Amino acid sequence: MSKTILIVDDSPTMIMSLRSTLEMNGFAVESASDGARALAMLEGGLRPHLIITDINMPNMGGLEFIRGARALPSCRFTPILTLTTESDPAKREESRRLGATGWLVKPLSGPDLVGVVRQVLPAAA
Amino acid sequence: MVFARPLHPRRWLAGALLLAAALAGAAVEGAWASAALICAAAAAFVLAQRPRPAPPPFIGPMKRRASDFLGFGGVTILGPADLPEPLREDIEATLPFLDTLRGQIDGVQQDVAQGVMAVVEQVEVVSRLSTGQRERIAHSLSGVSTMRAAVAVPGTIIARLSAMLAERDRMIAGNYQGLEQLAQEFHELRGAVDVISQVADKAFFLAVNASVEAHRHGEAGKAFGLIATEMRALATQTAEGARNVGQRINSFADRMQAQISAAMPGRNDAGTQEVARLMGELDAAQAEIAAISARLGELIAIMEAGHGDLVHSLSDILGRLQFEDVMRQRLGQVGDALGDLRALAAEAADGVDGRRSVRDLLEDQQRSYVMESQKVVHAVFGGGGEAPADMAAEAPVRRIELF
Repeated sequence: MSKTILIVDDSPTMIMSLRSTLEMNGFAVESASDGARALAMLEGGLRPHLIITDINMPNMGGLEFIRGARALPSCRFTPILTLTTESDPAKREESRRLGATGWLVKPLSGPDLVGVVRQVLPAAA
Repeated sequence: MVFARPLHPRRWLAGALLLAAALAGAAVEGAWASAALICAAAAAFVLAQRPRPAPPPFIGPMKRRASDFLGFGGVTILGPADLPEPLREDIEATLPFLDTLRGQIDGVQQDVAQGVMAVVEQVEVVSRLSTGQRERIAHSLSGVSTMRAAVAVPGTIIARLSAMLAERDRMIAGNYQGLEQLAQEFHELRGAVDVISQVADKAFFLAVNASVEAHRHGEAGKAFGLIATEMRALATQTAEGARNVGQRINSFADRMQAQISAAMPGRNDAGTQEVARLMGELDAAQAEIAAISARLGELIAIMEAGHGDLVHSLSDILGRLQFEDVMRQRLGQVGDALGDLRALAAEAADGVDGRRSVRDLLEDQQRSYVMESQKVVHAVFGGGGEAPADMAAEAPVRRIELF
């Protein structure tokens, strides 16, 4: 059974390309266009094996989403990767403090992304 | 350093164009770098068009330092009420220009997003085709395995049938031996018939002798002569019957022997040899199917490897398409800044007091960057940034960091 990855990004093209990359590598994908929607999905019972989130998004950004997700018992140990254009070290440190598993910078090659996903996924299995 | 001269609106316009140049430069390289150069050239053209004008006759209380407005230092600007109408029109003319730039940015973003989506869709089509091809070949391999198993079952049945036929041949051979023995015994019966025939012949001769003797004794031997006559007739009949039986026995024994002889040579050929031939053909077919199966297995392995390579390449392509998101954010920021600049220009044209300066906008813009490359480009075009020593050589970005 394929593992489910939740993608949180406000860019439809990012969601589309990430979904395609992950699905052709054997993963199932759910997506949300901002942190608030993603949090609602998690509160609604979605149990992804991994979450990949952007940082700068409307409504609710990635950092606030990570904080909210970590507050949910079901997501306390779910790996969360950020995938962002953000280069501010302060935000990177903030994401680490909030419980992110890793910090990925766009553009990131598909094979690199899949490699990182496979590296962090066993912890969630 | 403060100049007591008013800032000519054309210099204001030049400042706005320089800011637009910096913003465009902060966007992606290529087309927007060209736009930056165009804006910078336009600014230079505006500055060259007219020498710095003489101070107007009146400098009102609303005058302010141009350094607050442009950040280029020390020039004082007139209040809006002091602006000559043609110059106000120049500032107002920048508004549709800035709107046009923002519209162009939106258009570029939409076109690139649509193009990227189309590429992703095509990548998905290629991926699906490859996956389908792989699944079809795997299905073929499954079919060959099924065929191989199906052929193997009759093979075992025929092997058992062959054993049964061999047993049957052994039984038939035994029966043939029994028949031959029976034929031999029939031939031996002929000897017994010959004895009967010889006895009958002797009885015939005895009857003839008895008849002669009876005739020689005259009337006294007459009754004996009748008996002798009857004995001779009986002996004749017995001899004829014995010969007839002997002939029949001979004929039957000969025909039986002929039938056995005719049947014996072919009794081992038809069944076993045909079954052996069929089994040989089946074995060859199974071997060929096994070879095909092995070749298909190798083909599957090659297809798997090829599919893996294809997925790797397609994933790489999809990853590279993330440039669109980077460009979207950079252009979006430029578009927003152009909107702020437009609002400021509109306020300047309308004479709104207490408005922010272009320097404020520039500093806000500088603070809003989220990418290192934006900061570098801003430093190159806008100046005053924290440009690295070698701005052309962008520092390598660490793209993966696991905590």
